[in-house]
Amino acid sequence: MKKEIWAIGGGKGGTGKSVISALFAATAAKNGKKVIIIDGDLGGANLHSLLGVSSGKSSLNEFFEKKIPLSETLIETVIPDLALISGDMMSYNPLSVKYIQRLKFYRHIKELDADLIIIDLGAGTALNTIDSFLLADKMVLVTTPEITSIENLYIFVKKIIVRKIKDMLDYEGFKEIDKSILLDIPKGAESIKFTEFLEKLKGLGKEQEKIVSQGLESLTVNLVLNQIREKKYAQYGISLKSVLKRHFNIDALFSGYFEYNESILKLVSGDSDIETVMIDKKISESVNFITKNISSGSDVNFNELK
Amino acid sequence: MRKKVKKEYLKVLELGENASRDDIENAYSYFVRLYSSEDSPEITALKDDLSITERNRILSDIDKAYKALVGDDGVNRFEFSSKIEQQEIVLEDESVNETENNEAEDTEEIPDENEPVIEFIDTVDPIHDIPVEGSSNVDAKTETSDNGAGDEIDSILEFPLEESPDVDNEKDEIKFEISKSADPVVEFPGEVYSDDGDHLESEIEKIEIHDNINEESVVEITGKYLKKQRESRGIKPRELGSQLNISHKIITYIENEKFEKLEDPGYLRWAIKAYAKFLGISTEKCAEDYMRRYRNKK
Repeated sequence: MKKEIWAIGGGKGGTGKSVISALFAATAAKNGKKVIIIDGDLGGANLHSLLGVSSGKSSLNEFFEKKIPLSETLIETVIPDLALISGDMMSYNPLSVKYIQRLKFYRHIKELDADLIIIDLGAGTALNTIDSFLLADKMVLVTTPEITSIENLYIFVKKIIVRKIKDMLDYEGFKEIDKSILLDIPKGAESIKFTEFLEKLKGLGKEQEKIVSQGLESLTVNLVLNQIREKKYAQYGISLKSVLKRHFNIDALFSGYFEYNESILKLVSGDSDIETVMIDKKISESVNFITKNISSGSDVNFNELK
Repeated sequence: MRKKVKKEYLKVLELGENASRDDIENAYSYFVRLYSSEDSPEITALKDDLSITERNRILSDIDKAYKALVGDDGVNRFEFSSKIEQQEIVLEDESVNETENNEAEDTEEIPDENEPVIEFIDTVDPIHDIPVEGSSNVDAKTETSDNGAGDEIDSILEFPLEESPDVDNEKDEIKFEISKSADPVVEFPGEVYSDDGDHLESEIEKIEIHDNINEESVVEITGKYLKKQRESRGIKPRELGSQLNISHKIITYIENEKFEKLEDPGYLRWAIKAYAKFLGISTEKCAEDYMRRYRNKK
């Protein structure tokens, strides 16, 4: 089967990205796939504890500092066929990872031997987070129905788009000409007015306009809602999908949602373990439904939310 | 080509190819509400990134898609999936007789399949004009008439309000369900219809005037009139607001014709129609009268 990379992001911390990443990975492994999960949360890595791995070895540290190939830094987890690339860098300063090193990191990720590679991106919108997200075959955005979480999601989306378009313009040789518009971006993406920004870029010329359109067309994100306490909040998935299309001009799929669930909280607090949580019927059903949607590119519509 | 165009319009309403007429109505009101709203987190989270101009552009796209799909003259432009057959219609016998005479006309009203869609769109009113509410029923009728004219009467829903003068006069009802899951189901009495053929609303209005049943077909609908109707049903603005998912403030502005507070004509028109639907009066006339007053005074 074809190898796929899934990136799980969304900006805000505490929306359940790590738990969802772990559940996706563990379920795929149980279903007979060879899975590698990467803890891309360079600041607050916690995947190892979710997957029953005692902290200690840091894959990324070995990779960046000791120049050991990524494939040799894999750590076994409690789930057979699921290996972890740990991001626990302790005192390591993620900002010191140079551009060239990052490129090497991305190349190594693509060369890993697995059916499915899941990157848990953690919180924030740092450049390495955005770049890791863009490298994935399936870009998954996780949000809760809270407004702060949705705000962060939009900022994250803006940064992805700006970064993608900038990369494409750079590649096509428009590096200099567009500096005036792309200066400080994506650093300052929060403050840009998205529609104006797009107009400006398109106004540069026919060629640029074409590249911008191609950039937008190339992006498809999968939305996953978490901590849904009432069914009406699940409809946010459809609202967000519409906003991403109508305002941000990118394609979005609403892959599904997780209901609010105490046993997930127990997993995070260390009072439960992943295998126990996976047995929970509601959770396993949601995981299967959502991952199936993500793989096949289908999504949830109004009727399914009734 | 036609199929492709239809698919594109359905996409604007986030619907798949198999969407029924009901799905379209529901999705349309969902998105009009979403993009008109001041308090949905999905929109407010964008902060000033979403300008009023852009909001209106999006609303107008949604409106265009809706109109293209259902037509604003009550004639559907596209065929809908057979799910529509599940639409439930409440009927009484007498109306069947009344409409039998029109059978010959009815056949002429079948939409021309070759009519270019684009041409229709170009004529769309830039203001967010919402098409004839009854249009959904026109479609439903086309589909269900195959089952024999009104023989099978399927009474399923009850008008939620007691002592409503309009309800007493209703001969036939087609119930609308604006469903937002987890919200209480709002039931609206529809206009007067039979299930026999493609009657346009004008037909129904003629009948209404002829029978001299509904006073709103002759009086001009004003904010005051709406208020009177609401109060006669013993409903408070807040209750009505929560039923229609419209802020009670807006309800009060509408009734008191505080036009300066009602900035978005597209949303206003939608709200007026929802209000009219709730009262069980002609949504089209209501919106027309009210919007005329709005335009003249503003």
